[in-house]
Amino acid sequence: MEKIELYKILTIEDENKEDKDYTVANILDYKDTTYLYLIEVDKEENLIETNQMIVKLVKNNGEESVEKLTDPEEIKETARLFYELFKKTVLEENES
Amino acid sequence: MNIEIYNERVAKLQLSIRNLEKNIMNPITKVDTLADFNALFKETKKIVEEYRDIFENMKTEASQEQLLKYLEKENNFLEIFWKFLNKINHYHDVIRFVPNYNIKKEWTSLYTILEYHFYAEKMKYALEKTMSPLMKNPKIYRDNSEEINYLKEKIQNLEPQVDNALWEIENLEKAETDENLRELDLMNGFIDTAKLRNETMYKKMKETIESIDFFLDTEDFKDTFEKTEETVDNNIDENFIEVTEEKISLNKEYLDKISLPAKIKYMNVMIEKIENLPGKKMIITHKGEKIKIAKKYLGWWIECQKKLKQYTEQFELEIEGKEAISLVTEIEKEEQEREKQAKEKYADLYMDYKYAQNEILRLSIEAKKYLNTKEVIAVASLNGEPIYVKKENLEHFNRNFMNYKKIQLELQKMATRNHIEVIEEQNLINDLSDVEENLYEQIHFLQNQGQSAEVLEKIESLKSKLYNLNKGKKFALYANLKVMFKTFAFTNDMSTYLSNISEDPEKLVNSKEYTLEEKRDILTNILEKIEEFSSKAHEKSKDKKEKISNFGVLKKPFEKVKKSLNLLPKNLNNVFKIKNTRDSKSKKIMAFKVAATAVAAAGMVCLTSDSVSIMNKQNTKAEVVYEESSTVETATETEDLEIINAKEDTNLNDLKELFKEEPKNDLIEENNLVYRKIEIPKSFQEQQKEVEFEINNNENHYFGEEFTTDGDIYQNQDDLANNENKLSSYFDNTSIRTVEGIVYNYNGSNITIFSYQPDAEATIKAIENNGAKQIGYVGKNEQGMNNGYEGFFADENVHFVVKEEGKNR
Repeated sequence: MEKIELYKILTIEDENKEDKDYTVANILDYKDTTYLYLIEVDKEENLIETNQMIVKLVKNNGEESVEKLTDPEEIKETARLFYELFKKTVLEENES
Repeated sequence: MNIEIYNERVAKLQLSIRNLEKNIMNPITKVDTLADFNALFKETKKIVEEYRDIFENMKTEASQEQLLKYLEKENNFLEIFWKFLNKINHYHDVIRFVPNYNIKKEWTSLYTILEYHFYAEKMKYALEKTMSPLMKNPKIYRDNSEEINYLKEKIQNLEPQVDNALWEIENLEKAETDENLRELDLMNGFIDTAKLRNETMYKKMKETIESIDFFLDTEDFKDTFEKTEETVDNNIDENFIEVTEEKISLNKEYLDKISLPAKIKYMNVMIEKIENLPGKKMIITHKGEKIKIAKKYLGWWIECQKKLKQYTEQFELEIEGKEAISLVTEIEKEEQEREKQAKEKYADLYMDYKYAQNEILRLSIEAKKYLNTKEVIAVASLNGEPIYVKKENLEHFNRNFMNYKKIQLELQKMATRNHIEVIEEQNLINDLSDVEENLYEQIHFLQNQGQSAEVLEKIESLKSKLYNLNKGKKFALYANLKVMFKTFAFTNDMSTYLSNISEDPEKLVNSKEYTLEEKRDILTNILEKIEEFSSKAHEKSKDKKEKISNFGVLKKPFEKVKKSLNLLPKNLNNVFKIKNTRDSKSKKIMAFKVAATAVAAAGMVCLTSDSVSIMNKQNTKAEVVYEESSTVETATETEDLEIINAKEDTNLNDLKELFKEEPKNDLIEENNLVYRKIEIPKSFQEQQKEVEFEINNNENHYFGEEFTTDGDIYQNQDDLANNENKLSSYFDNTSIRTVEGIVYNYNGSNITIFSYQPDAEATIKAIENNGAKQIGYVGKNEQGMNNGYEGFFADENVHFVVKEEGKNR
């Protein structure tokens, strides 16, 4: 499997065994864990803005997987950090 | 690897063998007496011993590639040795005078063993050469199969004889009383050899041969062998070969379709046919063979030979490529295995070393209490510190000190053998990063010094040092881990097991042999142990005021284990497999889309922790819902949605709080949206001032002298503005001809955007989006003369109407 990098497209199998494509909108390494900010994309790679989520990168029996966050504090904390990251990115975009 | 250190010995051995062949085994040498025999044997025995010492070591230390190389030399040696054995085969006649002894029988037994060994070694060499690439390329096996089968047969025939011979020797040795016989170097030497072979080589060979037999009989091998036989398709359709007296041609279309072996066959058939064509013959020499060929077709023959050469080379390359891949993999595997073993050996020794060192220190500390009594003596020094021992503990101390020194030497030897830098002390490991950095710097410096041989050599040597240093660090860290686990009274096996996991915890994470819980338990246990050990060590070092920090050494494995533990999912129900990863069509476009979308979403998620990723259980439609705290209930009531995160403890102020340190980025809350103000670009403000300056210096303006450079302070009532600006009363809304500029209140200041500015509309949009409020406009009055009158009018709904070309100020 290719290395997970910013803006790559991940095909993720959901609980109903259906495949969905997500773009890696941002990556956060925090407390020895890698978090991803994912936004669903359609076939033309247009963002489906209504489907965004923060997940944790995990390994399930050696398979690269993501785990949905369930701890409210963890979600709040990571979302705050992601917000900072996005804000920085947008400011950089504006400057350039 | 380490074989290089034996180079001198190997060279000497080769010289001795040459001398043996040249001086002793030449046809002129006669062996008629026991003295002749002993003279010959003495030389040979020395060679045999040296050979055994060198090659036995090599077998355990060399990589497969090196082993093969040296086995080849060994094989050459055996050839010579074999000649020697044959030459002395009749010597039992010479030494038969030994009383009461059946020399002939004994010699026959020894000879059988040596013969067995000879074939077994040759067999081993042949197999080493063929085994590893065997599965990938059965052709190699086929090429060597004749030799292997011959050797196998020989060995199988010899086996019962060898068993018998070994039994004989064993019994003969027991019965042996004759002093004369013991003096015979021949018997001593050969019996030793036979015994050694009996204990190690013979058993080893037997096992190898059995495993080879097993391997060759396996279905896997047969399948591969047979399949490859089938897949080597060199059948050709000769109808596509056109070689007649009238016409010769290559069918390129057909050639493109067939396999490389078939192409080779095609060219061979073409060549053969060309050679058989009638005509005036000429003789050419090709690869040492004389070939008759009609002169007329020579051009075609050469052309075909070229093609044949090309295809043959391609085919060979293909095979070599496959072999090379297979060999590299094998070598890598062997290297890894060897390193693993060396590391474990090193760690075991290191543990003993630490134990001995601790015992010495313990005895010394104990003795220090009685320092001024006669009971205590200073016996040695350790790391520059004198070591004291109570006389009653002297024996115990000596034992440990001897052991300590011995292990220290062994560790150093092991380091030399494995090309590693010895790192004995923990504080040295802690300083390693500085050493590494220094080496990197030196390499970097040299890399900018050109490409001279001297520089390259220095770089190579530094790189090698860096490699050895890292290897040493790895070994030392492993040893430290093992020592640490041993302190928790884990068994040796368990310590090894936990050390291996601590070194490469991701292997455990990826393993399918353990359940999630088991993996979590193991990693948690390791983390707890490292933490406990580190805190104890820390306390100890504080007491002693020592700088040594064990945690420094264990920090890296600790972090690795921690990271691996976090890689384990908490709840498998929430885990989804990443089935594929690919690049987006355009990274730039994706970055742009994301920047435009995600910032607000993430901001809201962090703002309102109740607004979260929601997965629709029924239709798997996932969406992020941005909601204020008050709407949580509504979302919760939605039956088909699962709220992952819901907590009413944040509000808009939280987000404002986040940016407290950035007052310029005040956030504005409006219609449930959050805006961030941006600063007007400096260039724009400067441009604005320039324009204003221009206005006030225009000779034709009608604002009077009170309209200064600060005259852009407009009021929100037109009358007041007109009055202040000394404008006539007939200057009113009705007479406005064009709107020249829009006036905004932005961040407490009034600014005017004039219609003639090239980026007027974009600027208006930008400042409006960032909270600027329109408070009026600057208009041009129809009563004006050439340039018209101008004045401020308070109106929030006026826009630029027409921008008249050529009327710019």
